[in-house]
Amino acid sequence: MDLAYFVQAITNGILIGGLYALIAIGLSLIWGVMEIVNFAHGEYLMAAAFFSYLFWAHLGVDPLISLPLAVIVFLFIGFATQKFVMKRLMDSPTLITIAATFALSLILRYGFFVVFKPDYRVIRDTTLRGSLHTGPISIPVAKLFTLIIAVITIILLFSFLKYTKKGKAIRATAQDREVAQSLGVNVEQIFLLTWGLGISCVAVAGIMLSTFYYVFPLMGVTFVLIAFASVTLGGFGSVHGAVFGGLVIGIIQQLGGAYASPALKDVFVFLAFILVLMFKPMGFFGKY
Amino acid sequence: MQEGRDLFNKATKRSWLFLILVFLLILPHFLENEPYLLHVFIMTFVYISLAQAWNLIGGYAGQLSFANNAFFAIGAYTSTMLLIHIGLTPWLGLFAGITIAAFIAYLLGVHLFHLKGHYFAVATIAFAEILKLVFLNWRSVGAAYGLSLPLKMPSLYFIMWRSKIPYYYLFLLVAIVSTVLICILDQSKAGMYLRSIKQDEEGSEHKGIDTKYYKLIAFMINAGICALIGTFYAQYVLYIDPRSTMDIMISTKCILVVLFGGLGTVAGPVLGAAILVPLGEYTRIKLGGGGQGWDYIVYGFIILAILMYQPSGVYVILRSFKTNVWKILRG
Repeated sequence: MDLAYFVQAITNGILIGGLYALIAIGLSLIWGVMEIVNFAHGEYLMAAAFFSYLFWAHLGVDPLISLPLAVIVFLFIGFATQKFVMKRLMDSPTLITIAATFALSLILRYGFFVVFKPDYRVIRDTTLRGSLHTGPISIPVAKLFTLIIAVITIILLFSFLKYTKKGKAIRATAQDREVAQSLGVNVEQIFLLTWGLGISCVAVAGIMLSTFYYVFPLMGVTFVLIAFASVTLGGFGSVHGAVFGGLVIGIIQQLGGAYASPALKDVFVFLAFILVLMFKPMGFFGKY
Repeated sequence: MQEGRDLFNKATKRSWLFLILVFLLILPHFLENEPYLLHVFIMTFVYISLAQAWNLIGGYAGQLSFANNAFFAIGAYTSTMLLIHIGLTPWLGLFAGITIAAFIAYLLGVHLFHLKGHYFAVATIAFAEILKLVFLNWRSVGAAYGLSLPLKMPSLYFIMWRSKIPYYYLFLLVAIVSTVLICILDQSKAGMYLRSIKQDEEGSEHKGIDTKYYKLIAFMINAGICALIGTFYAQYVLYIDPRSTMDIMISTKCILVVLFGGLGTVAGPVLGAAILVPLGEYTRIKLGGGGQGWDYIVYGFIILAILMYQPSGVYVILRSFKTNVWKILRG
């Protein structure tokens, strides 16, 4: 066993795990407040990656500069999703909301597919190029930066949920919608806000992902399954759980890729995930 | 009076069904030079059967399974491997496929049925993905290149024909059989138990229904039907690979078809497939420009619209339309 190889795999796992956590928290937040599994989550990620690519390719804007803009734009896209689509489906059974978000994902995915064709695109020569080397371990700058941005975003989201009035209202609604409503919380507004926040988080992930990964219309599928696994591992509705799940999934994936077979790395993720569910049917921190 | 009308309705329903059946039986003779139209009909029959299978586990038992594509692929691969390596007739390969699929469904059910709806959904997606990734990298089953079926003498014994017409009748038969199966189940005690489980699982258990047993049976039949169609599908297209047979879109299409037509009804999946599949094929040809994508966009909008405005499906819309017409006719 080569120690450096092991440390490198763990490092890769943590680097990518931060991104998975960032994708997963939005998913978990939306479930926690509204009990909706957003199957279109990966498509918002893809849309954000395209946002970053188009700004870079046509206007020469660095992804790090389009990042704050994307957060605001996707906040409103999240609002719009709730206002025009999901609002009508709020009290529907799980199957209906799953099918609705799936329909939404088809429209988004193949809308981009028709407009941009299935080609793979790459953003090159951004400020985040090259790698850092500490001894035998190498860390790509783009991935390191992604992890840092992910940590900052997660801390910001946690503080928002914990300390602000709106954040407290979100948590109250997640705990008990009726009680929150009777205490004067505008539940409709909280639903809007939750969608906005969830989609903003995944937009940050999409922009950062575009700095070191291909941008293509079908990219959402891969990541949404990983995000589902992360959320389920942590437990639906638990935002802390999603962060934990994302990191664990990242590490399992990279260890599996390093020691068994890179082509089968996701098999280990899904196997680990099914095994956990067999013994802990609601993940590690799940409430429902 | 009321009874008389019902009887009349039942009789008209029967004669309508009979007319449609006769139409479908003689139709291929007018389409001999239209292989593409025949293909659309065949795919519609495939999705009627797959959607009926999903209707059983999803519509009646209320379990959100996304594993239809996995069972479909198990059926396709089992019979194809047996045909390639020992030249076994697909009629026997079929039973091997059904057995394996039902056994895997049993294992999945035993270990995962205690999960709640969305957890079960994600777990079945994970299972189907594992299977796909393994097959994509497994050399002896053709890995990502897939398998081509060896060409045998065109015959019923090898389920291989040059024309599409025999396939048309084969898939029509499968669609009818699976629909009749669901119809029998719908009327039976088991169907009642499954509906009761879907509404209130704990309550059903207290009433003495062995919920786990009925869910397992439903899941195994679902898997078996999918495997059966998988075998026939492989015989029809003569080439299978993980990307086409294990695509999660197969499962999703089944679910969308059932939801569109009407969840937990016998007619729902038939209506859903008969409308959505030809529509998808049509838009792909008319708007696709060689590429794919438009059919899925159309699906997305239609499903979203129906879920937002009439989540019970087209079946209910048609039924209420019929009652309204009846009211107008009677003044």
